[in-house]
Amino acid sequence: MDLSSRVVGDLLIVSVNEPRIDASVAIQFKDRMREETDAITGHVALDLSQVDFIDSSGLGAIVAAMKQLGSEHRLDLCCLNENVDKVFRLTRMDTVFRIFASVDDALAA
Amino acid sequence: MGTHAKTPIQFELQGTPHAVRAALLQLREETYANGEALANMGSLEIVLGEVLNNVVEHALAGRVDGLIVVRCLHESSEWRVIVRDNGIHMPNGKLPPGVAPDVDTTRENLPEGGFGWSLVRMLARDLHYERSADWNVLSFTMDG
Repeated sequence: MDLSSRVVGDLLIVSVNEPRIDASVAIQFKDRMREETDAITGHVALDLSQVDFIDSSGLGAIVAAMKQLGSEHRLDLCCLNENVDKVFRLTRMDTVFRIFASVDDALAA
Repeated sequence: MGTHAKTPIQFELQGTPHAVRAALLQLREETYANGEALANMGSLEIVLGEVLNNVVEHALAGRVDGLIVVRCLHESSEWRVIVRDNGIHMPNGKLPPGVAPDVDTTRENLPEGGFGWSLVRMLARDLHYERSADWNVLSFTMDG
């Protein structure tokens, strides 16, 4: 599970450099998110621009990643493609996360 | 053009999450090759992913000889899909109700699972399940 991150201001932007977050990688995703966000001081934005498929296990792993940050650190999402956005809307998880169209929008929020 | 018979897309896979991923990628390739890449493929992939993952996690849990056979026919702007597996039957012999987990709750109580069947029921119609000769047979229809 290839994740990379960079700090911009007080925001940690974590990019998912994979086309899919599905049942076969959900646990690795959660573990890698814990590693990437180990030393955070502010909020996190998850850049999903390279992800074109997510299943309910992947969705659960993103929820788990949000929970493991602790309540003082927010997890925002950005750059959801159509199929990923559809899963968030149908499960109403779009009401749980702040979702931005671009990394810039997440930075400006 | 004309009334030539459509050829269904068929594939077999073993009961593992990696086999499910490979099968969905194969489905993408085959539908693209048939010029059907835009025929509601995103929703079909979501539904098939949930159905297949459920088979792997429940019907075929702990099995080394688990087998899943998928048949997708695109015809008259519809996908007609049949998924068969040689696993144990559905609890009570019925499909799960697929009630969506409540997300209007505290952060600590947010659900991390239980979305699969609700997604299937929201996106697919004509869901039918039966047990046939020790196989599970699930069929459904989607716009395509």
